[in-house]
Parts: sequence; C-alpha cells; structure tokens
Amino acid sequence: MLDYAYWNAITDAASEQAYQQTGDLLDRLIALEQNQDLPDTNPLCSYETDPNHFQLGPFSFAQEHTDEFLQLLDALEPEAKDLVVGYYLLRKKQTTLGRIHQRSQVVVGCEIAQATQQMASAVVLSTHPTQDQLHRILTDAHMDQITIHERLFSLSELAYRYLTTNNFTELTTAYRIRPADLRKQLKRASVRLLASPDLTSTALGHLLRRLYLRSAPRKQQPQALTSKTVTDPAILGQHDINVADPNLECLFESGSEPTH
Amino acid sequence: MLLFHGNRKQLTHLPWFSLILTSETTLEQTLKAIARAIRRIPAIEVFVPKDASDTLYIYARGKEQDVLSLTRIAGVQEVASTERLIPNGKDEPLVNRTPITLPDADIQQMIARSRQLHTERQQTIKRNSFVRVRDGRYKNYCGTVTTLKHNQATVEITLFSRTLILQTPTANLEVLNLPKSQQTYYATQTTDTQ
Repeated sequence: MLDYAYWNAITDAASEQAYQQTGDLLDRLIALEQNQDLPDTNPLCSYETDPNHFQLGPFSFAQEHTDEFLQLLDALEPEAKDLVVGYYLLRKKQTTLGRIHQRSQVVVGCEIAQATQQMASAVVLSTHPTQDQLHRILTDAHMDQITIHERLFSLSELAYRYLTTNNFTELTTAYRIRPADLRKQLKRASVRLLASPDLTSTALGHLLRRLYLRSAPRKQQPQALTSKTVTDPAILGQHDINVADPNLECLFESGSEPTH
Repeated sequence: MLLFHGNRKQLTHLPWFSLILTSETTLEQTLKAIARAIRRIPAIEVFVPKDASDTLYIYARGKEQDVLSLTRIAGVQEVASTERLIPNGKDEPLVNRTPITLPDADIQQMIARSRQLHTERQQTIKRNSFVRVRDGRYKNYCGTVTTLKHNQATVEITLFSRTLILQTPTANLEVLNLPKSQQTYYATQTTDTQ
C-alpha cells in the first residue's frame, strides 16, 4: 500500500483548482483532435507558464517520492509515461520533449496536464480501479444508469470495460452503441462529476474525461513507432569547442534543469 | 569544456579572469549566450569546469575589455574583482574595482585535469555498458551500448513506448555501474549517480 499522505495533501488542497485551471488546455486538445476552431484562449497559455502549476507539487513529489511516483505511472499509457517521466523526473522542457517525441509543445503540454490529472485520480481511486468502485461512486451520484436510444446501460460497466480493454470500437460493437452516443454520455458524466465537491467523484470525473478524450476519432492515426534512430553531432564529444562550429547549438539543447 | 574563438596562440601572454554566474540552474542558457557572444570577439577562450561541483565560476582569457563585455550577458553576475574605497569628501565613497587576474599555471592545471577526465571516461566504455548521455537533446537519458566504432557509440535507450537508437560520440557518455534491476532510461534520477 502506498503512503499517499503527501499526495493527498496536494490533491486535497490544490488539484481541484489546478484541474479547473488546465481545463481550457483540454478544450484546446479536444478541438485539435476534432479539427474544430480553437477555443478563444490565450495562445501563450501553457502548462509551464501557469504560475500555480509550480505550487501543485508533482515536481517535488517526483523528486522526493520517486518510488511512489513511478508506481502511479501504471495508470498511464506508454507514451504518456514517457512524457511524464521526461518532464517531472528528467526535467526536460516541453519543447525538448516535443522534439524527442515528434509532437508540438501544445500537444505535449496537454498530454502532460491530462496525465497529471490521471495520476491524481489514481491517487484517489488507485491505479487500477475496480468495477465495484466505479459502480459505488456513480450510484451515489445517481449516474450509473444511462439511457441510450431507450436502452438502459450501466456506465460503470462500460467505463470499466473500456479501461481494461482500451478498445473503444470493440466496446461500442459489443454493446451495439453508436460511438458518438457513448462519448456524449462519458462527457456528460465527467462534467457532472467534476462539478461535485466530493474528491472521489472529482477523481472519477477526470478518469471519465480521459476516457472521453481517448475515444475521440482521430483523423490521423498516431505513428506506430517502435524504434527511432538519431545521430548526435561530433561536437558533443569534444572537450575544446570552437564556437564557430555550425553544430554549436546542439550543445545547449538538452532542455534539462538541474534537480539539485 | 573549453569554448574558444579565434587564434588561441594570441592569448598565451594574456591573464585569466574569473566570471561569477548568478545561478547554476540557468547554466545552459548562460553558456549558450556566452558562446554566441564570443563569436564576435577576435580571440578568446572560456573554460567551464563542468566536472567540478561548483559551476558558479567559469574562467575567461582574452583582452580585458572583451572579458568585461561578457558581464552584460544575463546570467553572468560579474568578473571577480577587488574593491577599493576612495573617500571623496561626501557621504558615499567612490568604489574602484580592479578585476583579479589568475595565474595561467593554475588554470592550465584545471584544464589538464578536465581533459584527463574526458579521456578516461571514454576508455571505460565497452560494449553492453550501461551509460548516461552527458550532453545534447538526450542528456540524462540512459541506455546500453550496442556497438562501438571509431569513438562513436550506438546506445539503445528503451523508453516505455519505443526504443531510441542513439549514435553519439563515446566522450558524450558516462558509464553507470548499476544492477540490472535499476537500469532504466531515467536511472540518473532514481539513483544517486550524479
């Protein structure tokens, strides 16, 4: 059992506010995924530039409670794990991570924000929530029973199956539900749960929001990269460096901040 | 690391100065700005003792006005100087600052040590060594050396989502002696290796 004292303090005091503050970024991601016009938000707003972000605590949590932090990664998908580890543990800038993972800084920032929320949810609900757990919270909130085209479904059952299989198409086919209808229900439930003052409900709200975002139809399938070869310039191995070297900038693009 | 520009032979008779940096957390940005600035100076060299624990001091050799011009860079606090107060009959005395010059022999000793460490590091790298990347975009990522050829190594870095094959100079690597169970790509942050 993890000792969540420190993380609970974070979630109790700051996470809910921070979730709200990063909400506009998630809206931007949804808009990007659905190829809609971007919502009217400050284009300079990023997860890094939010001053409250640094009071959230994941940086210090990652540095001071690394083992617990790594256990929380179980709640994330592989790509999100890499971004979170790169950002919080290796202290890389979002632009550098974007270059490494071939994503834009905005997308990297959104992914990290979502992953952070998912980890905070995992603190409250555990990294692998059970169907009973979901059922209990949704029943308490009177939201477990949902109606889609006059057919009754259990939202906890659908959410749990999606969580375990990670295949939205298979889920909608198995239950014969139109994907858009299920997405609508996931969004509706997440919005209502996020408005709840109860921490457990908020955590589930974020989990459902993550599922809703993950289920978005993508115009471009993500690149199926299994391996990538990159070559560093020779200047990185030199002790005496002539600043007239055309590859000089490569020396200063680590994007790492010292941790000590 | 020794950054230089121009003909270094012209510098042999010139003294070294010590530059004080404002913070080690902004070291990379400061060095980048210094490297860009010294491109405009005909002849100068800047020694950065990166292997030392104290990176708040770097050393520069060139014409005095060229070295003093580096203090205009954000991140460079000042050139180490002596201060002499000159009474001027008013409340506030004038301050006369004289940059401290450092003996070439002392700095050359530090440079020689730095070069030695640089060479030694390369010699310890073998095939299947678990290493940390020291500089560049993949700084602090760790992986296993798969091939070694002409001072060039291929390092396999296993991320959660994929594998990165990094071809980098061996001098850009540092061996980490860690048990297999701790050999992750973020090992530098989970173990006391730095």
